[in-house]
Amino acid sequence: MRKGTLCLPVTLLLSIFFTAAALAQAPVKERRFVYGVNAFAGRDYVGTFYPPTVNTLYLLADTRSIISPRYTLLYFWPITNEYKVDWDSLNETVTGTLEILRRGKLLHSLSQTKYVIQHPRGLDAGEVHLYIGREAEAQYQEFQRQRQAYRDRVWEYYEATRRYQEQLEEELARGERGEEVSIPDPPLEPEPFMFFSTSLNDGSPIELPAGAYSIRIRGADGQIVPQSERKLIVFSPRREGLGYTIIPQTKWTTPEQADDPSQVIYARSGSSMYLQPFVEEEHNELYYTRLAKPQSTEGRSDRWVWVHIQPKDGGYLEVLRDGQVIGRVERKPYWVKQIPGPALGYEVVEYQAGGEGSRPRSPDFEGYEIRVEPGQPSYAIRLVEPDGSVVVGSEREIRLVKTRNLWALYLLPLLPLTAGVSLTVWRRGKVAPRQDKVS
Amino acid sequence: MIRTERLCKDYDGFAAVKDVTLHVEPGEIYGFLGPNGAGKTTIILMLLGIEKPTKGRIFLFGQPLQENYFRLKHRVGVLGERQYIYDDMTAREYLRFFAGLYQVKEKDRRIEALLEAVGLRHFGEVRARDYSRGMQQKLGLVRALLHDADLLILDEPVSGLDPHGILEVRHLIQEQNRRGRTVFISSHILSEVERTAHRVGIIHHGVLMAEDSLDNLRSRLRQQVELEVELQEVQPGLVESLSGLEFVREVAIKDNKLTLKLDAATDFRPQVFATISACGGVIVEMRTKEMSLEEAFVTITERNVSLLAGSEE
Amino acid sequence: MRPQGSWRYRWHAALLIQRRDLRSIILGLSMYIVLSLSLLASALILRNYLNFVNESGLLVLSDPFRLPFLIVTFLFSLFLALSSVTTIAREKDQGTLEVLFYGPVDCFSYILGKYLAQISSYLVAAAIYVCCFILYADLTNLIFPFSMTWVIILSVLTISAVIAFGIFLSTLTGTARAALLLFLGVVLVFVAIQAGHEVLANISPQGRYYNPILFLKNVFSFLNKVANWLSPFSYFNQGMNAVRRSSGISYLVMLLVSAVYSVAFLGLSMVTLERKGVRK
Repeated sequence: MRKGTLCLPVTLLLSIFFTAAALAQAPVKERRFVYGVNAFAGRDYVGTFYPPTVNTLYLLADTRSIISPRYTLLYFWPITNEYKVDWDSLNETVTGTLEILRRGKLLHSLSQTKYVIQHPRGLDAGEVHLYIGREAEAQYQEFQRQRQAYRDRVWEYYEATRRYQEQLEEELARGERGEEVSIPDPPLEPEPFMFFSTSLNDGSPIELPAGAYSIRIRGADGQIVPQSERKLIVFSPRREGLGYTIIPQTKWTTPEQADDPSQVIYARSGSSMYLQPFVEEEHNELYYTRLAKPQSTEGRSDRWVWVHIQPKDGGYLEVLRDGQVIGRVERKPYWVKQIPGPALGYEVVEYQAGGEGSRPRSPDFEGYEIRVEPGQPSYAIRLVEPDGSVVVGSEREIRLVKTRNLWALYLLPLLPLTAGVSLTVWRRGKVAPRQDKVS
Repeated sequence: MIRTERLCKDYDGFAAVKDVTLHVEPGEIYGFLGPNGAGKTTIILMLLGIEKPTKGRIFLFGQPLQENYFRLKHRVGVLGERQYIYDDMTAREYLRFFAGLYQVKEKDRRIEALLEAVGLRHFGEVRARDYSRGMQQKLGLVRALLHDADLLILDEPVSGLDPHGILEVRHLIQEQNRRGRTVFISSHILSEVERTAHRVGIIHHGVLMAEDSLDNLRSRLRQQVELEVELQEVQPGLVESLSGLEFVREVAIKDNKLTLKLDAATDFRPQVFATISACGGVIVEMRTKEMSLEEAFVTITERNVSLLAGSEE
Repeated sequence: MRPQGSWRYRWHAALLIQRRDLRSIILGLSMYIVLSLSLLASALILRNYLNFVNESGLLVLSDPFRLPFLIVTFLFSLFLALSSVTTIAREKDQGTLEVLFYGPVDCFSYILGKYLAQISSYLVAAAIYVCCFILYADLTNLIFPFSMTWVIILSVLTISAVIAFGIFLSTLTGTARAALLLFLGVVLVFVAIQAGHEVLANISPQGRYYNPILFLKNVFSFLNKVANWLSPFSYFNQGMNAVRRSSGISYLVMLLVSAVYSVAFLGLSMVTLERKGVRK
């Protein structure tokens, strides 16, 4: 084999090797200025950071968020193609005031204060609180107290369990000896501790109306901290409304969304669906995406996206036909019952509290069941509050698709071609035959 | 009817038309002659506003073309050098389209009459692109005549036609002229122009070399006259007597016919008559042979500048 | 200098040319082939929706006919673009343009007539599409909402921009083949810019290959913005976004921009035709 022939594959292998070696090396971490942000995203707070390469911050209007200037170790992570921070190694508060400007004019000058973000009923329960200043300290202490109380309960439970085990063994021994046995009650496991809280941190609370601003940190020496000058876009929702997550009975694991009021729900005759209403807001896609992921390249400024804020509880669903109310549906819990045996499948069954036999401890979901009856081309549904008022933006139309005689769909496109051919033939007949070139 | 003032056209430094000042009188047939590349078509396109002159002015019907473009265009019928036809139209559809453009009244009747005049009435529903070259030429002529224009500009009107067709077209042109139409014909077929034109303009290398009536043009260019004399019999010594005359350049004899080439300065026919009579000859017929347009054209274009400059002085 | 003359003559000539060209389009087979193919494409899309409902039991849509209408409009606009790109160049090539200018026709009336013929053929096609979609809606019970009216109005003006652009390209060349090649070249450039922009937009600006990629990204971003203004095909998309967002102002802006674009390119066409002449 010629030397030249070997060169290319060897070169390729070496380049792959060295690239892999380069990638496998530990990333280079540098001490850099970043903005740590706890931004309110409509329903919860999102913790992010803005590296020096991201020039614009995004926040929701008229809601309180926290901006925390920090020095930390910043490094580039090529696997996910983004910058990351090592808070554990370095998390140094930048002393100074946060200046907010608009069109070059200083609007606010904010100092840093203590803050804490807490979810008293768990991260997914939808309840979140931001406390600042002394209230933050107090709430954090309360969290610590409750956590400690839970730990104490857990410890007591473990002790009770240990004693229970010992008692059981004693009773078993007595039983073996033929003595009277008395089985003690097992200790009750304490309810899980759902209270979530961040630690007490420093940051500047910020709440602004919608608009374009710029921010910077003025240090204790009166100078602007390098790399702290950024733009700030504060945006508000374009619309608010009520959207639905719709769980089809035939594919309960892949729900659909009917967030936009203009959307129509198309269904098959005889099918069932379960509607879950949500309070929602419509935001600019680019702004909202960058609020949650500052380094993301996704999101377009000319698109809008509906964001579910929180489930809409209470109320009932009205079903209408031709403007007349024909039914009323209450919200109910359901569970998915697997059909035993070789025939795979499931059915959705209304959940009854008490949990016997195969019923689960808790329902799989809650919602309003709508069954699409055959014979009616369309329905409308709307959510009504307990006091009888219709929730604005909750109307949706449900239409039954026709699935018969669909061959006509393919027949229609033939009509223009037929017309064209007919015209061509007619024209040919109208025009006299070609004459050989005779003058 | 048509008047140009020092018309010039340059193409990237090349002067295609240089200082052309021509005029066409109302009611005349004006023949426009010149070899290939002389600038004839360029001038016609400038008259029609399709090409813009580099310098100079154009007047149609006494008015500048640009000032009354649409009204003037309505009064001009044009037959181009080549006939370009829409692919998908029959002859009648083609003519109806142009009749509509010129807002011809009773267009169907007019179309039928003209098709009949050129012998195409039975081919009206044939696609125009299927016509022979001669038929397309006639169709183009019909298009030019549709709107009864006051001025007809015809570029090679008999090109591609057989003798019968040429005759038809010639009669049509003369008929139109008799009705008062002014006709501007550009042609290579000099014999046709000679038969129909009242005045001609001769252009060469972009310069208008001559513009005059045919007779004046011939006489300006004529250096000698050819006189044909038929005698009852040729008397002895007659040829020598005639050759001795100072204004006689050449004498040729064939049977009883004498062909004399005389100086063109004066009409020497009386002197010739006297000489023949003195020799006892009896003249059966005496005829002056005119220079043809072709001869004049060749003379001008081959020996042009000095000849015309000298003759004009 | 544009020859002065009566507007009445101009309009008359323009309408006559429009009638002639429209007749030629209607009597040709191409338009019907495009209509049939585009309706077939839309039928496939609708069938796809119905299949989804059959399988899943459920489908949520705002305007089931928006995508089909986008497809048919795009296909027909492509047809009109090709037709308008070749229309003047072909006439020049064949020599019939010169013959037309023997008569009371000037560049204004000619270009206007050409434009009116193309836009009229689209109006005919749009009417056919709307009728077919209404029939489809009745067949399937998919809703054909009133908001589609705005989309249809938008399509007329954005197609107008496509036609004006095509006519302008047609005046630049002397033959139909050259015009087609020019059109394809321009479309390829637009597509390349958009594709380059999309690819680079998905690369994080903070990548390790910071400087050259960021430079390219900025260049393509700028070129994409320019292309979005220059390419008439982008106006329909932008208008559809405005309809989707129910943004009246953005919608009106797109209508206005399309109209201005059309007028600008028709004007440019007239100037170009005057300068280049009508001779073969």
